[in-house]
Amino acid sequence: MVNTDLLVVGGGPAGLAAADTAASLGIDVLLVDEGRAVGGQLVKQTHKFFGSGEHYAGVRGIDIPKLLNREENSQRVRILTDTTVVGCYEDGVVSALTGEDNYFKIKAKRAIFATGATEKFLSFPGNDLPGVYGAGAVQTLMNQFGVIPGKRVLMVGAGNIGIIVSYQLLQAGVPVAAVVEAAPTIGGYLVHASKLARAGVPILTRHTILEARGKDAVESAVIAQLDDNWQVVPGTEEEVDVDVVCLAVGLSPVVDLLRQLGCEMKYVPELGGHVPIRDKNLKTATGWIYVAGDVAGVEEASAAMVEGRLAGAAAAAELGADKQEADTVISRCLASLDALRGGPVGEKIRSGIAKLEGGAVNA
Amino acid sequence: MLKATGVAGPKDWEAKLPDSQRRKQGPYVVFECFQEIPCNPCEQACPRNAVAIGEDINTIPCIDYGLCNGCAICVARCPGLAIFVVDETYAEGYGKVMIPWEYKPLPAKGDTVTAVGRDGKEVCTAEVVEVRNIKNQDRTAVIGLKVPLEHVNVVRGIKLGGEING
Amino acid sequence: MVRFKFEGRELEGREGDTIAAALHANGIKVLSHSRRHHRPRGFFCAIGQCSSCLMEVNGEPNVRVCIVPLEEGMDVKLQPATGGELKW
Repeated sequence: MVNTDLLVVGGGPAGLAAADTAASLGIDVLLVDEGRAVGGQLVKQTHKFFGSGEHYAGVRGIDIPKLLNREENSQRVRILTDTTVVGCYEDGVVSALTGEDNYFKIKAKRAIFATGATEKFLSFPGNDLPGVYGAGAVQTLMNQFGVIPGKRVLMVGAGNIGIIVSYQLLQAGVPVAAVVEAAPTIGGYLVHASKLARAGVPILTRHTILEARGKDAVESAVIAQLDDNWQVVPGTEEEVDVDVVCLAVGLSPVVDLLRQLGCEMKYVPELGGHVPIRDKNLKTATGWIYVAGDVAGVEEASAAMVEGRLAGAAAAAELGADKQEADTVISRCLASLDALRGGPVGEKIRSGIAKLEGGAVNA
Repeated sequence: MLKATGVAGPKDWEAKLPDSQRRKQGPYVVFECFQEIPCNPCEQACPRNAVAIGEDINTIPCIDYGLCNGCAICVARCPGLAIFVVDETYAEGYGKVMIPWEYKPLPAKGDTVTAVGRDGKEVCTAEVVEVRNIKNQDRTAVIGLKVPLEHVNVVRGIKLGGEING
Repeated sequence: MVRFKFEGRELEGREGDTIAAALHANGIKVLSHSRRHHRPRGFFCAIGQCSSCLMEVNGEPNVRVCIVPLEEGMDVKLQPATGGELKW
């Protein structure tokens, strides 16, 4: 049995920020991550981040993990990579597996689950063909391993992920035939969309993919226009010559472990699906568990980092950290989240969180 | 239009230009930032405090053209690559457009390139008259293009795919 | 370079690649087949979550090749959807 004051599950932006903040407040942390290195999905985010200085605005995502995993906290943060949490139990025991056969238990006074999100899928004939990839997979191949996914890509979804990954494909020298988006307007930031437009990539709103064709892998895709009722406009079908169909149709929080614990959930479409009910400081109804980042509701990585700091500070306060210091961090984080979510692009998140507050727990 | 295609129309971008008198006085910045998003690095980037966003980081940046001298430091700092600098006083019949650039190959000074508009369509050929790519730009190069005066506010990019003959 | 085998073919990958990235770089997109219709499957998520890339590596079935690092001399094979011997 490994004993720790604070266990952080997941070493992405939220988990790293949580560990960093708790350690800065004097708490010993054990952080486990299933990957070979920490960073989560930051390791493939080659673009510069938005936000303000406190959100690492202007810094490329790939450069952020080292800013969150600081030398000065290395005495307090113990990191286990290649370690997957496989079980969670009511008595506060968590079981984990390092590598293939090192199975062990962890007993933590508090835990922060920052398990992230997974890519949503889309139903169409041929969607199981090799060459149909999640946008994150394309980023992994291209930005992490330097392998191009194919010769020509159809991007499905014009949210931030779809348009950012399209831009990164162009940077890697892979043409993007088009970005199709079923909604009437672009969901991602318009500045990202304009970058694609300048590169000559058509963004086709009110369009969808009908089919991926090919024998052993994608050889083409059929797209079509949609009407106001989201129905295909007959005669607008068009076969596009691509060998990659990249799906960027949203993310779902990875809540499996929380479910295993019986953590109370609510279905909130604005946040990506089932999310744990929690209070303002991200503490769930399962008292010793906090959540942070996409598992708490899918948002930008900048918000995930602030949520990590918030949960880290709140958990640290319960573990005996200086209350005044922790409270200062907490109120700064709450203000920072309000700033990130304050504008029109944050409206969806705001309404999602408002829905959760109906069932909020009190700390 | 912009929200459906990502291409800003004349009504969108004309509203972002300074008045005609300021345009005749030398280089000026053009912020093609049309949407309230949580972002403010441009405000801190400006050494002359010509960019104001203020307390709410979702506010669209406001430029004081009395303070802006078109230095282009902000161009590489914008994560959205939405800032350009235009100089209509560059040469007889020609202006200069500074654009952010994160593709390969990186053009060199003296290259002739195909300049494109906001929609990616070819506008004209242009000479690369300046390339800035110092460390603190963090791999966002800034390229100065010499283009015919009538195109200075149409040209916003370079055609991709090695259309460069140095 | 790291040398490895895929279905008996000698291939090369780069140090630090995952098995799936190295296969992809060699033009191999079909990593498994569906159980009933034997339709080809590639990887979808590349982060070890979707189970679409399970392969037999050094005799061990159900290896998520999208997250396992490539090693010198690895023997990578297709497997049936349930693991074990390939029967079709």
